[in-house]
Amino acid sequence: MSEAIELQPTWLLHCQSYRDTSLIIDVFTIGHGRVAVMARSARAARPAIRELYQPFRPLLLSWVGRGDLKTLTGIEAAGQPLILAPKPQACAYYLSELVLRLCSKGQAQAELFALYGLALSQLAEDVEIEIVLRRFELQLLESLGVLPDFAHATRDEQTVDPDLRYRFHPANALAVPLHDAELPSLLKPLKGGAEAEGAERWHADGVTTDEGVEISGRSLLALAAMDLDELQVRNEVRPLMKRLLRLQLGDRPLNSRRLFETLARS
Amino acid sequence: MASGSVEDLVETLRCLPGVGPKSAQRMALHLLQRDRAGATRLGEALLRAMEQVVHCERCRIFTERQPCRWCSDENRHAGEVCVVESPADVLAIDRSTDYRGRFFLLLGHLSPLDGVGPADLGLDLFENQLDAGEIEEVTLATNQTVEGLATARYIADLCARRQVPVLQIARGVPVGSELEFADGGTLSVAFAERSRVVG
Repeated sequence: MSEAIELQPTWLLHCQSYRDTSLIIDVFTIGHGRVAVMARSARAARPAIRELYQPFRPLLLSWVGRGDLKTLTGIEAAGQPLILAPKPQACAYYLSELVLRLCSKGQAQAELFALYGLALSQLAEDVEIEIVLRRFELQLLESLGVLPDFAHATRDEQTVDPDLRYRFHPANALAVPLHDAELPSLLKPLKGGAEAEGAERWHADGVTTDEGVEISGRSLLALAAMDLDELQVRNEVRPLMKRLLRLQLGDRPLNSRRLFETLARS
Repeated sequence: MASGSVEDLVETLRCLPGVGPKSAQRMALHLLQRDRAGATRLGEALLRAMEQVVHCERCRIFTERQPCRWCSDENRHAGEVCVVESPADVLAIDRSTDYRGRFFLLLGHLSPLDGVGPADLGLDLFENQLDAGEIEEVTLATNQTVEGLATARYIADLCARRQVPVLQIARGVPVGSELEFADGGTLSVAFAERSRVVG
């Protein structure tokens, strides 16, 4: 039996034309996670319907189907489209791409769904971009079950000392105080092993060993509390978050980052 | 039954959009059985087009000569440029409006998740033309989608930084339609951008 889903709260992540008038849309839904849906004749629909097939607008979607690609049976607006300035919009695309790349299809992630909507509305309201992005990245990693326990990441699982500086090793989720002599022997090699053949291609930046990122204990505690209000904390956690995400993303770069970098240069 | 060339033909026809194995086979058999002359003409036309048609180096439209007929038309104002997404847009604008400037084709729109960035839309070429002072006024006529509008905004920004005036085509209720049936998005834009009645 093919399952009929009615009026699922949905965000559209990506649209792709199919044949002359149809669309294949990648959506993020509250109850079924990421879903790919075929919208027949969507491009030839009357304007009131056509305008709904846009990202950054809350929708209610209905579909049927058993396979990987569902068939759309209804689309309705659940609110007004968010108005985003160029940089926040590039960031919104970045969030969509993270969801597209990291969330698997058909797995409900209601909490992350709500957080994605919250992040979008914060971007529309001009909340500091870095706070919105970092918080969503942390929440995404948490929902994937791969968020390190930053506050207790030391070898003996004691609370991180805010006054010490650490080197945080993302793949090992381990914070080692700087100048710890025992360091290298403690670390497990990365997936495939540093000595395995071809391991040097595993990371885009050529890093094959879990070299770690230097960071203060204070910032680690802030990360654990998802408190990113301080500029210094945000500057310090950025490289670490990038490495943590890359562990999940592999070495295929994010497309949306390119546009953001172009905008940032201008 | 099928020899190498037939299989080859079927496989090659599949490069057409929306043509799967079954349609490709139907097309191939039709050409072989019923319309060999047509097939030869098709083959020749394809070869000729592939050899001779290039992008105009000024506006990126498909053309057989440089510059294209739009860019070399002396009755058109060379300093006025209308930015559009596709060649079909050029034909539509030419057919229905009295616009007398030239065009610039993006052949797409910014699409962050597909990795389509400014360079893929020929915007480096556009910037060169702005820098060379060849452009006096820009009219943006990209699609009214999130990505089309983002593209328009990006181009508007390029122009603003060089103090080149930018216009955007008007948006609103279609001519000949009734307000009651206009969609919410269009109606709200139509009100936000309402214009003064002269007279």
